Amino acid sequence: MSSPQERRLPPQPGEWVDRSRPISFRFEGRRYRGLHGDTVSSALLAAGVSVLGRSFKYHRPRGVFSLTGADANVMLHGPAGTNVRGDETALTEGLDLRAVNTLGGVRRDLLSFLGRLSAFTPVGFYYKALHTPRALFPLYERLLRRLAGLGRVRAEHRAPPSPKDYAFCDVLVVGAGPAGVTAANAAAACGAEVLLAESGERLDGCVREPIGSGVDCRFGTTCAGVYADLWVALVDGRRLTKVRTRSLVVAAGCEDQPAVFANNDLPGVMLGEAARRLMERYAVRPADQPVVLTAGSEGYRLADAMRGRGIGVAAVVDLRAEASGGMPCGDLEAAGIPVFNAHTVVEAVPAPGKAGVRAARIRALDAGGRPTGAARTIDCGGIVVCVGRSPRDGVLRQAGGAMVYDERLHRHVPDALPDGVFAAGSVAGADGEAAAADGRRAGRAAAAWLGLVPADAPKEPPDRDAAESGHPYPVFAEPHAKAFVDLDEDLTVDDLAHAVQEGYDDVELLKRYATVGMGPSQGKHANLNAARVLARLTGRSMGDSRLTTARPFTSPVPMGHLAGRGFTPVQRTPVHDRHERLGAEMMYAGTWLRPARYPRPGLDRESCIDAEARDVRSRVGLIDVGTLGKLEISGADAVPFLERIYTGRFAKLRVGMTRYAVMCDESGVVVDDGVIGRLAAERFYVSTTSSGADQVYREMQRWAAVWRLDVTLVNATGSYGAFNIAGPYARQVLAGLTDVDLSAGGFPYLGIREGTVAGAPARLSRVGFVGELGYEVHVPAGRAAGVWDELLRAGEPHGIVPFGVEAQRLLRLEKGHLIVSQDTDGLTDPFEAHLGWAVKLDKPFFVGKRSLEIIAGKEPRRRLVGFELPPDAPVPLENHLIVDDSREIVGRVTSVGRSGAVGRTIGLAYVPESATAVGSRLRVKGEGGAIVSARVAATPFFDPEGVRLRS
Amino acid sequence: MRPPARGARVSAVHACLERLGAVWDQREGAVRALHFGDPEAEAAIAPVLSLADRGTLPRIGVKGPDAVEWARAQRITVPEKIYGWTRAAGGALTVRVGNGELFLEGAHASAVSEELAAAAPAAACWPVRREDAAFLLCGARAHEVLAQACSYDFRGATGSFVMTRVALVSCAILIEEGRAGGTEEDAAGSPVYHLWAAAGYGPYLWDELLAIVRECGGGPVGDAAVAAVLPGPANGRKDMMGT
Repeated sequence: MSSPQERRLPPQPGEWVDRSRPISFRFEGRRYRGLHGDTVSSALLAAGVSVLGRSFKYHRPRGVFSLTGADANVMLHGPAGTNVRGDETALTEGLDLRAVNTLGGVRRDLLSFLGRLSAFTPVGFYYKALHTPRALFPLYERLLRRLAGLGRVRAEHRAPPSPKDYAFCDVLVVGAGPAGVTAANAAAACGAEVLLAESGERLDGCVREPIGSGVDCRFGTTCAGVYADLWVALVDGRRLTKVRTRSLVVAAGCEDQPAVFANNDLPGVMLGEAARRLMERYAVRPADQPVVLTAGSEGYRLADAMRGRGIGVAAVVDLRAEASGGMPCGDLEAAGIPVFNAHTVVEAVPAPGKAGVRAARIRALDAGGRPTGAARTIDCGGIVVCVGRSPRDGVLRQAGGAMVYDERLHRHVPDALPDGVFAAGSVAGADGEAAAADGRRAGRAAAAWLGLVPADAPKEPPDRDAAESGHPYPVFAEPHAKAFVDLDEDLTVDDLAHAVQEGYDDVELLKRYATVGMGPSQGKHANLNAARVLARLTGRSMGDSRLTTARPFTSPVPMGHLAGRGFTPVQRTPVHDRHERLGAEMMYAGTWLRPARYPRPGLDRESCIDAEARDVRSRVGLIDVGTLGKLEISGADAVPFLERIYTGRFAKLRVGMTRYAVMCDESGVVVDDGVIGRLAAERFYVSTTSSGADQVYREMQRWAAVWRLDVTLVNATGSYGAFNIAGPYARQVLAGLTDVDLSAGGFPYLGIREGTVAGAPARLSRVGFVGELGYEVHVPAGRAAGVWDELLRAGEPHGIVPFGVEAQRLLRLEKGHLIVSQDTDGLTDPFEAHLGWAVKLDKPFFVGKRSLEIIAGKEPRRRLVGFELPPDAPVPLENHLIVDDSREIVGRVTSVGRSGAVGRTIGLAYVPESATAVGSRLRVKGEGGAIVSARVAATPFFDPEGVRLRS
Repeated sequence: MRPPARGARVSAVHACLERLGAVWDQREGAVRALHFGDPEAEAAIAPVLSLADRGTLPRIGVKGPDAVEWARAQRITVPEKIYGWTRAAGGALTVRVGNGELFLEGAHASAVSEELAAAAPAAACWPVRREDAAFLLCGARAHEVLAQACSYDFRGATGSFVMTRVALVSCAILIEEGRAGGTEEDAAGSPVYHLWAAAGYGPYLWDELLAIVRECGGGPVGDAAVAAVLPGPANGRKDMMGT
């Protein structure tokens, strides 16, 4: 086991690690020991392990870089999950992790030879080289996925469901740094309900104000996205929380930005923030004898902090000609640490195996900021980079905020923010001591925006004078070695230059072609330098450059968090459990679940449908039609209303009778059909298709308002259960259960009656959809199950069977009855569907009349016809095409089924007008393209005189 | 467990309740779940977080241009504003759903049904059968369930009647202040949420809500436990129970 103390510093004030609680864990198969409070990365670094990962494309060694969780250098996988970020994963006992994307382990990755092939694999090479032959696409894909990538998905891994949570607040503050805490406290002091989200596990040492009691602070919680109306996604280790906030304060701080020089990705090259966190939080020595590359005071402070902890500093290299204001230069030089002004690091000289930094090569800078003169080599064990910062503005921009490049600070600052959104602290350009004051301003401004206090604070920070500027162009590429702009994607300055040469000279184009900023870090360390390189290559200023669009998520969110609870509404009829008990196979009809059929032992699907249909024809069957839309239309204007809505005429419909009705839209397309029953002079009971009820009802409400008619509409669909009892014995079965006169004279075909069935109030109508003597029985939903049971009980002596939708569709097909939406489409007019008889063009008005008048004057393009197939012909499927002799499409099959009653396979199809005559031959393109010959047949196929249904 | 008698009226989620082991109670032709096997545990959980079925309460709609006038003539107190509601001393609920539309739940709904059927169409208002799926969501954590199911913060909405979507299903919700509990945080009474939706969505909605309720530490309760959290004096709850 490695020594846990190899790079561990003596106890530090405020350190996060607990030295009394050692933790044992495994990395790449070897055991290590860290401390409670460590992250995986800090524990490994403390143990002297510097190579913690391999890069995406070239498999170059990588180590700690930012330690903020923003970079993808330390991506691990193991039983705990895949793509686990070592920088932010708390160390726990027994962790067993390996680096992702290696072959043979992180220390000796066999794929590291890919770096030597980089001349042959420039940006976009696979777009150009791997497009032919197409047959090799799968091979290319597998190869690329094997050679480059992140962690592998463990398909066998089953994470427990991750519940979503919801929260509501007046003010959501993102970030609990100095500005975030003061903003939260200020808003809470004004009476606001405040939620404070902090991605870290505790407050940083630089936060001096404690969190007030009125603030709900959530540590370990990242703001991952902002959506419309200030819906905010907060992500913690367990779940996604959707927060609805009335106001948003973003105090997310800034991200240190890298410098671009040769081998700037080696383990040991790290950002200043990483070095500071290692020392202060985890008591770990960042590097031995590091060189500090700086463009401002932070590098000096960091060098001084290292010196104070007994860490030797090889040199401070300052990009500026001279240090300004309050720097501990004298102290450093007195301690023997050389300071090089107007110099830069141009190359990190790798240690053997590229496992670290052996030296830094530095060169002087000319007045234009370009390296000049001979290089000097400084032996060192690492390079700490403090050349500038960039705001963590993803959340701010997703909320609608606009950023502008500040030419003095050399970073972006908020330009315009939407109402209710505020920026505070360094994200707004207020650094250091100014941050806390700016937080107070923003918190109070948010409260004022909510109306909790008078508006007395300006929305923008008063000034950014105290903010430290970064370097305008910290890019110092050398021709002989790779200088990375984007560490996630292994993109170098040369890669971007090539892309620009190829014409991808806009930031959005460059992003998509070169994939800059598209890695797991989402450009947090790449976008700013890429924009600088692009601006310089195209001769634009940074002020004229755009940022890429900020989209959720700002940081990776586990898929399990997203796959939380989802809602898919489904409706069940009041007798759904009866169907389940009968073993019915269910199917969807719109949002409803309906029984497709009731399987019988030894029968396959087709035989089962045939048996159900045969039983209805020969005895009696019962089907649940509770899914039908059921509307009640009442009022003095009910008749004129119906005559305007539907194409038919209803003024003379007698009380106690029903009539088929077709509904068209204003272009004359059939959109629904149903049956209208007249219960009283001004009261109608209207059925609609199962999937059309809500839409028809909404449309009726709209028209009723438009026409200002005295009509009262009720959608009673869910309030009634409904059954159709059909077959030769239907009357006998029903007779014993109802007080309604069922005689042919007392209750004729198409009649509607009110009475009772099995003691329940009921509406009965004589219908003929399946072509048999049949009654539709509508009863209150709460009584429906009982009535269903009684009907089956009463039908036992007559051999009653329940039948499903598939048998019903076959039975109605035998009668040639169409189903709207199956036998019609989004262009079908009533004439081509043989519904012209239900269209009364001599009415003064109805919806679609004007269009139908025009359509009626034209030759139809197609018509719905019946067809039949020879006995042994293969059965085509619905939507198979009708083709002509040259295989051009001329129509399609809408319904088809093998009918036992007819003795043939029958169907409905749209065909050209020229092929509608009975006996015409049709060519149906069946499965596999085989042509099936069919013959146009007269409909109805069965009982054409309608004797059975009128019996 | 005694099965419901033949011909009895059952709720839209009867099968769901049956699967939970409901012990049935049947009165005036309607079946309801009295409890699910452990009345004491249900009584304890009801003020914390619970879901109850109210599907077989008598209810009816009155709709038409003369609906309000007709109802007032029947001595039913009708709110002036749309989405206003009144609760009579006996517990009968009247909600004004629209200019010419009322929703009645409780004992008075049964009586209205017959009177109204006789009055139409002379009165230009008609009875509307309401076989809604109806639930009661109770307890101090009930708002957390609704936050998940309809992404809305109902805290502070006590006294409101709203039309919204719960688990993507159109619902009406009425928020009442429940009976004061014994605990400090429940001293003022936790809100009681009445939910109504189309009956067809009942089983789906029940299953979804119950899953969230259980996740939040609650569970299903029967009528016996509901009585302890409903607002109003104990003897005034009889009408609300439809007895």
